[in-house]
Amino acid sequence: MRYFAPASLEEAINILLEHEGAIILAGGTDVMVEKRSGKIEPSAVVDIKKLEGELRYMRLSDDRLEIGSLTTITDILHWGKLPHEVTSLKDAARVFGCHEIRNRATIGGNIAHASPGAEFASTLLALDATVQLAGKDGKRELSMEDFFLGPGKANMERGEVITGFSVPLLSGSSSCYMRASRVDGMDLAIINCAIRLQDLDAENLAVRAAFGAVAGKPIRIVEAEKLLAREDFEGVKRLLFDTLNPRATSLRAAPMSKKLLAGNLAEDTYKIAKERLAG
Amino acid sequence: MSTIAVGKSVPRFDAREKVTGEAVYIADIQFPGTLHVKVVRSTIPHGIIKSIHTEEAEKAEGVYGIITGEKADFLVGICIHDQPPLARRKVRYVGEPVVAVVAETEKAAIKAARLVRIEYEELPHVLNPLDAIKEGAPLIHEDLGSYFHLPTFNPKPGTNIFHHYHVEKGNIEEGFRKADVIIERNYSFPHIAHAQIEPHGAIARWSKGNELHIYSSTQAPFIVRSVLSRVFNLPSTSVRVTVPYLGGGFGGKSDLTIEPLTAYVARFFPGKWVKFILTREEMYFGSLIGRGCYSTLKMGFKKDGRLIAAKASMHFAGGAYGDYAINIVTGAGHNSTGPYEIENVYVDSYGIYTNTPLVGAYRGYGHPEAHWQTERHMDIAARELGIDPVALRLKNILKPGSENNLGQIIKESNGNLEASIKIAVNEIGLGKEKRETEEIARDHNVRIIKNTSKGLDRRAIPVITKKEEERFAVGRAIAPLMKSPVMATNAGSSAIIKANKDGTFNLLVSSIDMGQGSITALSQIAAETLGIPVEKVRHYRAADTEVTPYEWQTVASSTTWKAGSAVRKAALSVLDKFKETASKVFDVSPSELEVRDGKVWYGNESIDFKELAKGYVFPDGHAIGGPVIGTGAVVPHGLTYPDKKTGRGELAAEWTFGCQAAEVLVDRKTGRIRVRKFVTVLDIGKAINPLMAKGQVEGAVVQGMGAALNETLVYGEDGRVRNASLTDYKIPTPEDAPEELVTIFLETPQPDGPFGARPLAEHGIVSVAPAIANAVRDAIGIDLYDLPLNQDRLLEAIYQREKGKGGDK
Ligand SMILES: Cc1cc2nc3c(=O)[nH]c(=O)nc-3n(C[C@H](O)[C@H](O)[C@H](O)COP(=O)(O)OP(=O)(O)OC[C@H]3O[C@@H](n4cnc5c(N)ncnc54)[C@H](O)[C@@H]3O)c2cc1C
Repeated sequence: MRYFAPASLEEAINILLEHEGAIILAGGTDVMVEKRSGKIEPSAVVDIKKLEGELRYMRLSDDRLEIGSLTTITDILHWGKLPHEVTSLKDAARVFGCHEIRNRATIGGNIAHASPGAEFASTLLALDATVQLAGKDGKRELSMEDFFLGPGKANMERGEVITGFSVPLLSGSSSCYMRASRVDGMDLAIINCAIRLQDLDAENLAVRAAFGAVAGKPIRIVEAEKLLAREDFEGVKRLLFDTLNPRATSLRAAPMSKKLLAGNLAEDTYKIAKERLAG
Repeated sequence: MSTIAVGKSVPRFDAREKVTGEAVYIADIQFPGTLHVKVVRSTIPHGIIKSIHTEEAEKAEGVYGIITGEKADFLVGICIHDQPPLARRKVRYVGEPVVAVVAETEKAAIKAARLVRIEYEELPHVLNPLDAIKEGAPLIHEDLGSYFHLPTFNPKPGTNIFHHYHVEKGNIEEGFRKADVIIERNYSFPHIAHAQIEPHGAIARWSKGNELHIYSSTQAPFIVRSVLSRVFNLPSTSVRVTVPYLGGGFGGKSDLTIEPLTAYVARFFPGKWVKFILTREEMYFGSLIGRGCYSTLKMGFKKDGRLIAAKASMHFAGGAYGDYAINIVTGAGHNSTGPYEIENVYVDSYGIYTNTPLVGAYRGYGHPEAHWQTERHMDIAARELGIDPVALRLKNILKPGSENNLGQIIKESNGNLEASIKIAVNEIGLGKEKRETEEIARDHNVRIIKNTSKGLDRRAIPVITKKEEERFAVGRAIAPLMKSPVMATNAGSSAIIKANKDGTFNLLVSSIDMGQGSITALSQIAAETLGIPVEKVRHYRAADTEVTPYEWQTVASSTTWKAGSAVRKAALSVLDKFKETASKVFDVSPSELEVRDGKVWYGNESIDFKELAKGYVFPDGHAIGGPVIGTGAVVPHGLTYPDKKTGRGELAAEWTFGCQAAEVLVDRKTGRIRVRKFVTVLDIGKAINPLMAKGQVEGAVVQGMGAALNETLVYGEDGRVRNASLTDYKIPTPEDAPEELVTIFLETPQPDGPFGARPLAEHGIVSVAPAIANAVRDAIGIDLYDLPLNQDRLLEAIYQREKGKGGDK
């Protein structure tokens, strides 16, 4: 296995194209685990940490928050300027792994890994963020819906690198992210839920609700959004209980638990987002 | 009594080495030219080995040899010899070592191991002990009848029962006949993993002169030596076992596990060091696991709450080989009905072969299993009888003068259970009025040491809790406990203390400090006895059967109490020798001398230890005495074998009594249980080092919470452990510790313990699960009988109840 540490994005893309079976290494908190277990056997590793100057940033511009792919979870957790509309990002960072992992893990790696329960997957999906990619043919930008394809599968071509994410900051909006887990310390989500609320007028709210670890990829459930907008929590619970079909092989929780937890988690997440909306 | 070392919270001596990474553990040891072992494990739970193909692996780069069990002409074991070092003819669980690949590097061994092909003829398998004793169950050991076993064990050839222990007291049938209320329930405690921070490992070399030296991360160097010298037919002097620092044991490194395999494999490569270190994943199936008990408990009460009959049958899933679990079966049997005096008792405890990894000692050793059933049962009984659960227990507890199930009479000096319960009740807020704990202790005339630790902020607690009180239910409950060690009747300890000319001392024992702090505590005992500051004692950091004196093994919470007694005796023998020499200098009888401040005194005259350590030199140069070495040795007091028929006898060398109490917060919507406050009260005789004693209890409580709330090994239909990793096998983290962790020690001195100390290290785990489950019952009215009390179980129970399908009894 070869190791490269390119100094520019262009070089990184070229190396990835030249070496079939090469993978990107960011924080390595997924790569190292999968390499050790034999799940992946890359021919080459392209370490992009030298691109931090280019890809590690959080910027506010024109009603959007721009986050570079090499931004670490700790960066997000401790950033004093995080707009209140996207507090869900902080919620996700707070429950993520442990100190050591948060210091190394990047948001780009979290999304590229495309795990159905990844903390930032549902969060960015609910926030209607876009993912920015750079490849041999230049740049492209995708919605999160279009990016996730299935467990571990993302809409990325060979040689493409995630450069960052763009998150809209809607006026009169708020957000929240919550997860259910087995222990309060380091754990992965049994299921998770991210919600964004926007005040439309005095009576109406727009709701975006995304769920993680209930299907092969993080998903929005539009029916649930409608019920949440009406604050019909019993309806949401019934809907999710009846329609979700989580896989039976999960070691974190039985399908029954996930079905029962989903509605309750949605209700909690909604309520906190609502509180945040109020102030 | 004013002391200079004992009773002080001396910070542990090994802390700096451990946090700086200087401490050497088994995996750090690297001899030149070391060969590395990787084991190819069975992929099926039960079957006949048809053929093993190693040709390709043999040709792989860096491979030195491929070893199978074929040439092993011995069976491993202590109490029952039932296991080959590598599978022979048959495999009995997924993960059983079948082939050992030996190579120049670990990587080469891993690669070559992938090239080994094994063909099996599969046999039906059984994972649950209740299925394994059914008519027609697959027989896991056809040769059980021919295995050697010690006379106190009772295998049933032709079945999967490798040990049956039976206890009988009074007349059980009459007991139930006289009872007004009879309650019977089934309970279960699944297999769990120790999850020690350090994976198990061993490094062995055979000299060309046929002598074996093995380094191992074992809690039991002398057991390892004894078994290896038996199976290889060598004198004890030809087998040397060295133990470096150990990174956590919890029982999982007691007896012996991978050492016979490592030694057997190394034998094919004389002169070479052969190293075998388990991976994290292998720790879930390649060493020892814990618990796995399915039990039925039936109790008969008089209307007034008097417990007059108890019948327990416990079935232990011992795994594919029984030697490691065999004494747990007996130990659980000893105290299977808890700390109560019961006229009529009938206990059956069975060790049962299952096609699962091997069960061995796990902190608590049968007692958490026994208390899970008994303390849940007492709570259920109290409700059925309409009696307060605390009052019901106080009415039935063992007190001075009571006779336990084994026929032993409890003495005042065994500790104060009644005070422990009352203090726990008060601390958890179940008392009629809140009192000062010190006041209750005064009522009972016991000394106490109290400590409260605060938990970390929990990241995951939803902010919403404030607003939705009806969603969260608070419950409180207690669960008393008692534990006695299970040990060989001659489970001896010994110690050597060497005096140095500068007034310092070297202490040698073979007990293992696996994190519990014995290096510091034993040094404190030596220093106190010698009357010198603790810094002047250096405890040898390793155990080495060729250097350090005999220790049965570091188990049963017995080091401070039993090895500590040997250390105290060794220190006294040093003082005797000092006095002996000094008496010649002063020309008086030794009995006229006193020892104080590092000197031997006769009236106002004194001789410093320094002048006595190498022998005393008179002004004219002539010397007497010689270098001073003190030795001390003990065996447990008056233990006997159990009576063949009743299972009774002097089987417990001591008891530690106590009581635990939990306050839980149950989220009715998510089924999550959070332990807000947990109280442990133990009568430990004397806290030799209060700081470390508290650490032991807090660690035990949090470890017990893991088993209570989350931990279980998950088997696939195919017998594979599905969650063999720390990602999927979740143990609690510091954030999961209770918000408030209260530890209270009572000090009723133990007559045969050093400075009155008695065992405490395992005890904090014993009643954690029932205390929490009883508190959950108090909170939401649902009785649970099977561990762990995880979200799946709680949600299901709450869901069923809400659907009106029962659940609550
Ligand atoms: C102990 C532990 C705890 C964890 N806890 C959590 C948790 O609570 N929540 C959670 O969601 N995850 C958790 N994880 C998983 C992991 O930490 C996260 O997914 C993390 O965000 C991955 O980021 P990384 O920078 O380490 O990625 P890496 O491991 O470096 O890469 C992950 C994947 O993404 C690809 N990749 C990385 N960067 C880019 C890029 N810029 N463009 C394209 N592809 C890229 C890599 O090729 C690889 O396939 C945990 C992992 C561990 C080991």
